[in-house]
Amino acid sequence: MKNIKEKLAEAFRLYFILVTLITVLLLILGMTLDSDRTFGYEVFFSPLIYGAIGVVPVFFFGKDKEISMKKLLVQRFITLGFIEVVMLVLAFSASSIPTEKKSVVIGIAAGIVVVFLLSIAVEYIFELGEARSINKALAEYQKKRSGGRGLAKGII
Amino acid sequence: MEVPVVDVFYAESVDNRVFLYTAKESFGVRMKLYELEEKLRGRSFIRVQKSTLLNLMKIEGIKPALGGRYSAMLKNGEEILISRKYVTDLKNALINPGPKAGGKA
Repeated sequence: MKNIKEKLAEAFRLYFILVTLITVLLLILGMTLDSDRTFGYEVFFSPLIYGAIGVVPVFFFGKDKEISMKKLLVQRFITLGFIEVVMLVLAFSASSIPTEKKSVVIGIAAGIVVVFLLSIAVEYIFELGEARSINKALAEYQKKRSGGRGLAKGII
Repeated sequence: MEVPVVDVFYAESVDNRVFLYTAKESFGVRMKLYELEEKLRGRSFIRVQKSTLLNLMKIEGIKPALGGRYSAMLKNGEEILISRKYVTDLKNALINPGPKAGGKA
């Protein structure tokens, strides 16, 4: 139960990071490659849908398992590959995206990589903040515990 | 051989054997990791991986590692990975330390 809660919390946070980054990506790609196209309001669903696809791997990879850095990187590559495939399939099946243009397909593929890397960077920034607060609590803890009298001694 | 608790940086279970690591030496002990964890309850030791107990007093600082994990830099220069699963326990141990244990182990 705790595991599911943690995964949901992680997916929730990642979802909003992805939606933001995907919106910016669509803006840049659209303005650069297809600036004359017009859309209806339904296009606002796109970042929400793509963001939801982006968080699916969170539920499949067990981050509670202790894996090596190498395996973690392999997991990340697999996740990126999955997202690339799904997004490109969606792009090719959407009539509103001009996938007959090579530049559009390359732009989508490259943009997905950029969003993926940026999402990792944003999460790292959050974790830096977390580490700072843990370090602060650690310093206080060590100060209290080594404050002199009553330091627990013992022998193993 | 007797090892003072205050000198232990971390304890690790490797191939069904438990080792204590001080600044420069390591010692094998004849007990399971969970038994050692019980023995060290209240003495600033916390489980940070399935096979590792870490002495909170020997940590120099914590920094993020990939994948929601953290890395603890120890005062002797070593680094120990803190699994994502145990990060919450670490935070709780620091915020709610509980009573200190007294006397000999």
